[in-house]
Parts: sequence; structure tokens; C-alpha cells
Amino acid sequence: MNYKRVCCLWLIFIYLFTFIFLSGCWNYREIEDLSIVTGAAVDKEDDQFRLTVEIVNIEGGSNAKVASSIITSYGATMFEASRNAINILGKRLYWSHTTLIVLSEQIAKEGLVPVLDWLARDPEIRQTLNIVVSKEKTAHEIFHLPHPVFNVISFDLDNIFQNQGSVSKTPDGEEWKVLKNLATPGLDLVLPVALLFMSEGQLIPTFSGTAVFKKDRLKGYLSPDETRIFMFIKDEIKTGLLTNNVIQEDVPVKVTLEIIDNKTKMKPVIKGENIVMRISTITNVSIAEIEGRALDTGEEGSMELAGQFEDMLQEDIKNLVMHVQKEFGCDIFGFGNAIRMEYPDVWKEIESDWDRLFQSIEVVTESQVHIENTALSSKPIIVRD
Amino acid sequence: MFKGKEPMSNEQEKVTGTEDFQSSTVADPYDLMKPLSTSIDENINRMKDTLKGDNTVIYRWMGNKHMDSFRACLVFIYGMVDNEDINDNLVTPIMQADLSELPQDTFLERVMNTIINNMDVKRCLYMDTVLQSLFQGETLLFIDGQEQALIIRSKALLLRQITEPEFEKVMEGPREGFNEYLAVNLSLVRRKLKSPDLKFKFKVLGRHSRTNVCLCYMETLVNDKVLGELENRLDKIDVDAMTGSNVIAENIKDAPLSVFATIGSTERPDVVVSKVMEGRIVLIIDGTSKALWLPFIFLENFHTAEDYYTEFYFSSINRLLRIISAAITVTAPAVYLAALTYHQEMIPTTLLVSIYSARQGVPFPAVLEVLLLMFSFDLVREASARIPSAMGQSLSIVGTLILGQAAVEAKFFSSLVVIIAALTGITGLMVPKLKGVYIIIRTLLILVTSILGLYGFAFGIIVLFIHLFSIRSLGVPYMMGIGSIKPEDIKDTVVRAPWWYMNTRPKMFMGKESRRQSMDSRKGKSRL
Repeated sequence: MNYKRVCCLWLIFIYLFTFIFLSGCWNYREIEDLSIVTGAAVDKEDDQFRLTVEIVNIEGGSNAKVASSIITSYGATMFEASRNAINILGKRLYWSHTTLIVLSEQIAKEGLVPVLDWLARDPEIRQTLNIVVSKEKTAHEIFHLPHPVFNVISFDLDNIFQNQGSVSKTPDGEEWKVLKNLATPGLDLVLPVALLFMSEGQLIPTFSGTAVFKKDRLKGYLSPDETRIFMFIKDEIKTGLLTNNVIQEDVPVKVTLEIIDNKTKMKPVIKGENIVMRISTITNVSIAEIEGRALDTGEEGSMELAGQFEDMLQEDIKNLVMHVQKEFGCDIFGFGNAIRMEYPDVWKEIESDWDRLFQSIEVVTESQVHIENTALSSKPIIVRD
Repeated sequence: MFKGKEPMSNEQEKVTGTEDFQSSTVADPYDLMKPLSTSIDENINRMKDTLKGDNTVIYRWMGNKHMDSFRACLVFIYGMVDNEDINDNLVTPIMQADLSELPQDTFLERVMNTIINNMDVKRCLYMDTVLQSLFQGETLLFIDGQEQALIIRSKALLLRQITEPEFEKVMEGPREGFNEYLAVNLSLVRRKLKSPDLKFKFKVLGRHSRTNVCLCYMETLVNDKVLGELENRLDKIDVDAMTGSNVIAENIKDAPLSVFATIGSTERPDVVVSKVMEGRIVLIIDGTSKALWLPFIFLENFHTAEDYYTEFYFSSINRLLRIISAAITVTAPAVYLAALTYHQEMIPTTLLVSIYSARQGVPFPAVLEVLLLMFSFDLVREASARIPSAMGQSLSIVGTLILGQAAVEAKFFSSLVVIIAALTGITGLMVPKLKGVYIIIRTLLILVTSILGLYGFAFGIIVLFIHLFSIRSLGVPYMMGIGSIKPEDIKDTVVRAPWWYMNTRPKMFMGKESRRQSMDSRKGKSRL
């Protein structure tokens, strides 16, 4: 046996040995030994985390039905609570398919970081998971009631998020965005709000409105309608509805427009000592509904209609900004960030005093609404005597 | 005269019969090399001595009506000759003709040229040549006083019909296939290629079987180096019996331990013609209907004769389907296993939940489940290949009912793994030539995946490709045509280009003449 060949064999042996025994991810696990967590709620009880998880459960024999079970475990930290669930289930919690985590109001008020760190650090948890604040007394009650339609509540709630584009009344709460927002100067965090909603005599979990944060602590809430305006300002609106009472011959007529697309520009303008935020929106819409007769939807009529909506939008934006400035004093719109981008030197000067400055900042709005079409009807319904 | 000889030969057999155990069945080669003698008795005794124990050899002694001193003996093998032909054209003329008038000095020649009524008569001086002719079904004529024997063609052609090959069926295109008789096979090729360039070169292989192997090639197209190399390799083969084409294939393969076949095989004369026209060499072997061709590249595994007879879009789609199915059949169980046991986050949630529910209560770990099901699928496959067709039905009942349904209902296997096995099985049958390769690679991939997940899977695939890219077929890279983006290199690989585009032969096999047709071959139809 020559020298080369021996060397070659040794190399192959070392190679195989290292790649089999020293490789990083040795995690063979059978799927049935896991419990798949679809959603979780976190509460705090006497300095302990109360982790309530919804896990997939299979009911029935040959015609197996997918259902969910709710399990509660306690722990001093999130991870400990997660591992303590083994004592109840006999299986490890598997977090890779978790779609949302509901935090109690108390945790949100005390600060998100103790919860967020584990979510960001654990390799199983997806960065696209939604973080939600519960407006109810506790977070776990979101999961506790049987849902009339869905077996797995988290999947239903996730669907609400997936289709939020055509409602635009709940902001995004994806973990990676939350972490990014927290780290951005001149921008405060918002999270979606979960609550129970009475429908057909039954309480159903749903999302509604926005939770406003200062740093990582909860300050207050915005209503669903305010949320929509908020998303207008943030240029996050995709589609959605605009409803307004249009005065037609002294009679108010309810008109609904469907947003096709929207573009919002936020531009800080420095006027002497003052900083003015100019918010301009350009919205393309189509007429979705007119609850009245004889409204002109021709060229002139449309212009007038659009003008009334433009006024409404400008008013709403101004009101919301004022409301947030007075009520919370949190820069959830990212005005500070806009200044930082546009005038970095100015930002350096005002950064330390920004919390105070924000409350007095002036907003100038400019809105354009273009009615692109009137859907299937070119005229309102004609009713003759 | 006959009676006097018969007991003597019997006695001789008895005497020599006792030595049968000691002496080897092969006659002494030096003895066979000796020339024949002028004495017919001595020659016949030598033959009987050599062929003792073989009772199919018939010795027919003959005299002549007009010449008393004439003694002759016909030797042939019963069943290999055409009896009527011998009766009418050999026995009758020799017995009836007036041989006494023939001059003594050119007696044999005159018998050969004027008496024997046969198209192919040869003279022969040596015992071994005589024996070879005898074994090929020819008739020998020994005449007393002549030191040469006559070899007379009298083969009875007991052939299998020329039928369509079972494994290479086409919907359009010729339906003839080779049978086991070399001469017929060569004639099928020659009929399709009427060019003086087409050469048939014979070699005799096999110590005992003495099998004729024919190298077919186009003299102006073949690469002489490749041809020389092939002949060298063939000459080195030393087997005692050439029982089939695979004996040659395994003996001359470039990578003898590789699971991949680096030599093509076909039963279709039209395929042979097309390969020969690309400058390759085809081996047609007596006694088997499978012809071999070299060099052979990997992608040819996915080609069928049909591809060239159907419209080029359709045949390209079919080729792609075959390649995709090969990828699926090799990787599907391993990827399933990797996702299920290592990368659960990779599976869409709804699918994960349904797998999760199917896996509840299954006793085996996922690896064992996959391996067992693959194993049982191969059991059914091999059993159905071996089983007489009359019993096939019971097999399919057992296979489908017990393995498919009952096993899932009894929670022996989860239903998803049965789906994976079915997918693997169906895609694996698409290219029957590769089924052995599939089993081996698939199993290896399952094993590495079970140890290391997708990482192991990727590792396995890399090793597979390194192997594929390192082997050669008669000096030509096995993966030729893969990795090139030049249209002329891929015109007949993963896809099939239209005939009017295939103007040049593949470069790698090319010997001398690369142009296949005029560059303007479309002229015929495009200029109306």
C-alpha cells in the first residue's frame, strides 16, 4: 500500500467522522413527539409568567379531526414557562408554526423587552409572528372561549391579519418590524389590539384598533377609524374604504369610496425656528356605494365629490396628529425619523428634546383624491314617480 | 460396410468411456490443431474421440452406385440442420452420380463443384475449424482418400419471430426488433443502411461458447482511437461462455463499480442505425437480442426511440418528464424524511397538521417507516417481474389491499408515506433501464438524510454528482451535454431539437465527418 493511498483513506475517514459527529444541527425528532403551538398568550401573575398556549390536537379515530387544546404553564421567564409545559404535555412545545402571541395589558404597560428577548433569540420562533396586545383584562381569555366557526383560534386570528389589506383597521405586529421600530430613533411603536367581540350572543376574539407605545411601554389606544387614518399617514394603507356624508342639496348622502391605491409623502420643512411636517396624500379611489339619489357622478360631480373627501381626509389627519400629540405624546408617525433622514444635523441638535418638541410640531396637509371609476353603474339608481 | 464400422465405434466408446472422469472435456488443443489425414477411418475416429458423449452428432456413411471403392461420411448435428436439404442435395447426388468418371487428381474439387447441390461449400484441412463449423450447424463431408473435408452450409434457421421489443415499444416508428440470431440482426441493420461505409467486423469471444460478436460502425464517422480502444478491451475479455450482452458490458465498462450503466443497450435496429450514424460503435452479439453501443452518455438514459419519431415539442416534453420523474423518484422519500424529522418549520402549517394527525399512533420512527415501505414496494415489483402471469392477479390483490389499505388502516404506516411511496414507485417506472440505479441512490439518500437532515441530503447529492461527472464511457465524459448552454451542444440532450436543426453530429463521438446534412436542409419545405 503506497503512502498516497493511506493518506487518502485517512482523509476520507476524518472527513466522514467530522461531518457525522461534529456537525451542528443534531435534531432528529419525530413529528408526533412535538406539540405544535399555533398561538400563545402571556400574562403576568405574581412575578411569574403565565404562558397559555394553543396546541394542535387530533380528535377522533380514523376520521381524525384537527382541533386545539389550551394548556397553561408557569415560569419565572418565558423560556422556563415554555419548558415547564413538558410536565403537563409530556412533549416539548414546538414554536415554528406559531402565528401570534397575545400580551396582556399589564405586560405591555410594564415593558415588552422581557418577553421580546426570548421571541427574538429562540431559533424556533418565526420573525413573522404577530405580537398583539390584549385589551381584555387578561391575555389568555382570548383563547379560552370556543370559537363558533374555527377549531383552531390562532389560525382564524392569523387569517384576519392576512386579509387586513382590504380593511386597514389594524396595524401590523410582525416581530421583525416590532424589533426594527424599537431600534429606530424618532419612531414609536404601535401594536395591534385583540379583544373579545359579542356576536350572536357569543364572545369571539378579533382585532380592533392600535396600541400606542412610548419606548416599550403601553400608553394608550387608537380606535379602528383612527387606525385607518394613522395608516394613511404612515403610507401603509393598501386598500380600504373611505366613508363620508356628502352634502347634496342640503341633504347628507352617505358615500363610500374604495381605495385602489394611496401614496403618502411626509416631508419636514424648516421655517426659521419651527419645523413643519408636510403630509401629502394622493389617493386613487373608485365609487363603491352611494346611498342616495341624483348625485352627479359625471366629471364635474366627481370633482366636487372628491373635493369633499379631500377636505375630510385633511381634517382627519390633522385631528389625529393633534390627538396623539396631546393625549400620548408618542411619535408613532415617525416625524422624528423623517427629520433625521432629511436634516441629520438638525436632528442631532433636537434629539434630546424631541419628546417635548413633538407635542408642538405643526402639521400641514395636502390631499388629492382621484375618482378613477364608478364601478358597474355610471349613474345613481334612477327612481321615477 | 456400415455394420463393420458401427460396433467398432461402440467398442471404442466403451473403452474410452472409463477415462471420461479423468480427461478434461476439452480436447487437447494441440491435437485439434493437427491436420486431417487421408484415411477416412482415422478422421472419423478422431472426431468420435473428441465428441464422445455427445449423441446428437450423426455419422452417415455413404457409398456410390457407380463406384464401389467410394466411401464417404456425412457428419452433422441432429436438429441443427435442414434434413430435407441434406437428403435432396447431398445424400442423393453423392449416392446416385457417376463418380467413377471423375478424375482422381481433382476428385474433391469436382465433387464440390459438380455434384454437391449447395450454395456454400468450403474445403478445410484442420480439425478445429471442422468442429467449429459442425457446431454452427453445418454439415461435414469426409471422403476416403481425401485429406480435406468439405463444409456444406445446411443450417436450419429455427428463429424467433421478429417482434417489437417489449421494453422499447413505440407508438410511431418501426416495430421490428432483434432476435437471437446474429445473421438476421445484421441483415436488419444492413437493410436500413445501404452504405459501403457500414462495416461489420467479427470477433469470437468465449473460450467454450465461441460466440460471434460483431462490431458495427461507419468507417468514415468512427473515431479510430475509440475503435482501437474498444477492440483492445474486447480482446482482453477472457470468459468461458458469453451468455449475454451484459457479460461484455460489465467486462469493458470504464467504471466497473459504478451503479450507472456507461454502455447503452437496445433491441431495436433503428436505434442501432442512428447510433452508428453518430459515429458510435455498436456491438451485436450472437445469441442475444440486446445490442450494445458505445460511447454512451448519461442523458441517453432518458432518450427513447419514440422521441425521434414524434414531433419535437412533444418529445422534448416527454424527455423533461422523464428527467423530472427521475429526480422525484430518487429524492422524494429523502426530502419527505428530512422535512418530517429535521425541518418541521419547512412544512406549511396545514400540511404539517395533517401529517401530524396521520402520524399519530404509528409505531415506527419515520426513517424506518420510509425504508420499510420502499422495501415492500420493491418486493412487489420484483415479485411481479418473476411471477407467471397467471398468478399476477393474486399479487396485485395482496400488494394493493394488504400493503396499501390495510397497513394504513391498521396504523402500520401513515397515509402520507404511502402517497410518497406511490409517487416514488410511479416515477421510478418511467425509465425501466434505471430502476436498479434508483433503488441504490434512493436508499443511500434516505440513510444520509436520516443522519443529517437536509444537510446530509445535500451532501449525498453532491457526492452523486461528483461521481457522475467523474466517470467516462470509452473516454467520453458521461455527463456530456450537461452544463453547456450552447444550442449545438444541447440540441439532442434534455430536449430534442427539430431534425432540420441537427446539422452536425455530436462532437465528442465524432471521428472525421461532422456534417450530418446540408446547413440548408430546410430548403425543401420552406421555399414553396
